[in-house]
Amino acid sequence: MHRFWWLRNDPLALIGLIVLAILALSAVFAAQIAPFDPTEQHLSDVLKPPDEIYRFGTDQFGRDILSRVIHGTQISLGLGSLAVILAVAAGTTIGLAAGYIGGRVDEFIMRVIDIFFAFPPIVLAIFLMATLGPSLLNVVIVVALVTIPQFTRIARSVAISERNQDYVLAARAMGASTASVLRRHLLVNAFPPLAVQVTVLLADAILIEASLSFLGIGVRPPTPTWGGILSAGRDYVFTGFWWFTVFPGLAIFLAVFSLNVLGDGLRDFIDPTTRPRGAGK
Amino acid sequence: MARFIARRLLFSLPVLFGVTVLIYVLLWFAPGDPALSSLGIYATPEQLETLRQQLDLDKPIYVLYMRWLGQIVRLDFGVSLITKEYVSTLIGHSLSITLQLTAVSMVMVLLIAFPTGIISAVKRNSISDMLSRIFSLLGISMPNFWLALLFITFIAVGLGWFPPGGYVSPDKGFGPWLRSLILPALSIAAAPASALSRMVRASMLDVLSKDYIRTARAKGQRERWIVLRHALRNSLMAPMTIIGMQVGYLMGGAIIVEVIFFFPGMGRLLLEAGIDQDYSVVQGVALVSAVAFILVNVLVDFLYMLIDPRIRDTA
Repeated sequence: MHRFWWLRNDPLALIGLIVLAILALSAVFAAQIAPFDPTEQHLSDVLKPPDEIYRFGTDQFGRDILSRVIHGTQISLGLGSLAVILAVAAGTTIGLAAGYIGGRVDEFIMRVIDIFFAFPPIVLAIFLMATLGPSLLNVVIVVALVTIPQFTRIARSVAISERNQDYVLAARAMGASTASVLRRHLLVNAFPPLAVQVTVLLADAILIEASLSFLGIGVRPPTPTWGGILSAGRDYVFTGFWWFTVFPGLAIFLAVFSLNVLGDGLRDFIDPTTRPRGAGK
Repeated sequence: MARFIARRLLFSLPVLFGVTVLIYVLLWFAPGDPALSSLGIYATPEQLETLRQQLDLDKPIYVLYMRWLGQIVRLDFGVSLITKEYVSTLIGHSLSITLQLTAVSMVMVLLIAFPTGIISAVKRNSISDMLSRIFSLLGISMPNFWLALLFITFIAVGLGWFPPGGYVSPDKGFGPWLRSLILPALSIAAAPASALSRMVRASMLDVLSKDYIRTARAKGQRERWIVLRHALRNSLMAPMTIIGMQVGYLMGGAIIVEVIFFFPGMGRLLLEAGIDQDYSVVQGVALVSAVAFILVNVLVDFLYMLIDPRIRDTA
């Protein structure tokens, strides 16, 4: 447990971790926590403001928004995490290999990565969704593809700074293969900066998924997703049904916020020199 | 200086080439049949076959790609399969709106981030510093599309201060034009402005702790003069590097927020074309946004060079 001691000196990061834990728990136990079935329609209680029965109000089909938001956590956190795991695995492998091998391989890989960086991320995501077609799996693939370049860049920079260090040269002199150097030596060094990036990019992944679902080209209804609820609520903002959009958006905000502050805390912990001087902590 | 820009543009050519390959190849493998989406589901097999031959869909991909490349360098993006309009005309109309929105939100980002960041740093630990730090901490995690919906609900509809949607062309006057842009631009600008403000503050604090600032103080110069004359320029360097990246987020934000505020911009064009599988439009929009993004980054590099004489001299 001593690894988490740093959190005691960083209340903001601690808050982030707690909020994240609550969200993760509500994703796992959604069926037990949610007061209603997220797809159950109460047609006599359509567009009801928040009260004792429907804490977050109801939507245009009389579905309980609180239950939908709780179930939406599964998609947002689950799908986001899956995409980021894929992206970390792929991006780190590619980046470490590119940086370590160098030369033409590196040159080629980085030019391909540059192409991905040439698009505003959400444009790339919409474009890829348009080509792949809407499905749950495709959302995972697209979010992973949009985040891979970031991981590649970081892993590559670690590999470049470490590849001529004595311990790497020693390992090679002892006959270690490229794969073994990457796995046993470089990966360990890449871990701290990647951990920071994982939290930040998970926030990005959640935002991209929510944006795609909001635009109606991500996860399809009736599956409850935060972006999807917002998308349905969009038609009702002009008529004052504020609860329809306030609560699902708040969920997105909380997830992104907790990941961001946790990422900030991790960064300060791993590398205190990057902490803004006089940050008042 | 012209050489610097020319060289940067030249360097972006390979990336641009890669972008065209990516766009073309991906759409080649996309599901759906262009002939079918053009003629509709009641077309006979013969009609489909004729159109496929007209569109040369039976030729190998590299032949088609080379021909497409030849067309797009002449700014000919083909014809929409659905509306039969020229894609360049469609993009021309909507690009201008998206760029206006991006530009106004960029101005907002700068107008918010630099004053708050600088004041925060100079008056460290004051009430205004605390407030600006709390706001930037919250703002950085604010999804732009949610903020847009909140603005519509509470400010446009609730208070009636701004129109809840719809784009007003500048021909109708500067005031109405700006009013139609304020809420969408602010929803896009909030998160990037927060990030930049934090960066400006950190950078300013860093510079203010440098020896040459202490020297300036020791010389008895006034604090305002020290901040504006000595510290500001050096503290601009670090934030400048992320402005280029932020333009991408602003453009992306514009594309989503446009849809919410019923602006006929690139976002709506891309989205509708994607849903209709109108691939010539999707290709055109994706390509034009990438080009715009690349050009803006060249521009940011150029500004960076203007601020930092060291880069200017080596260029």
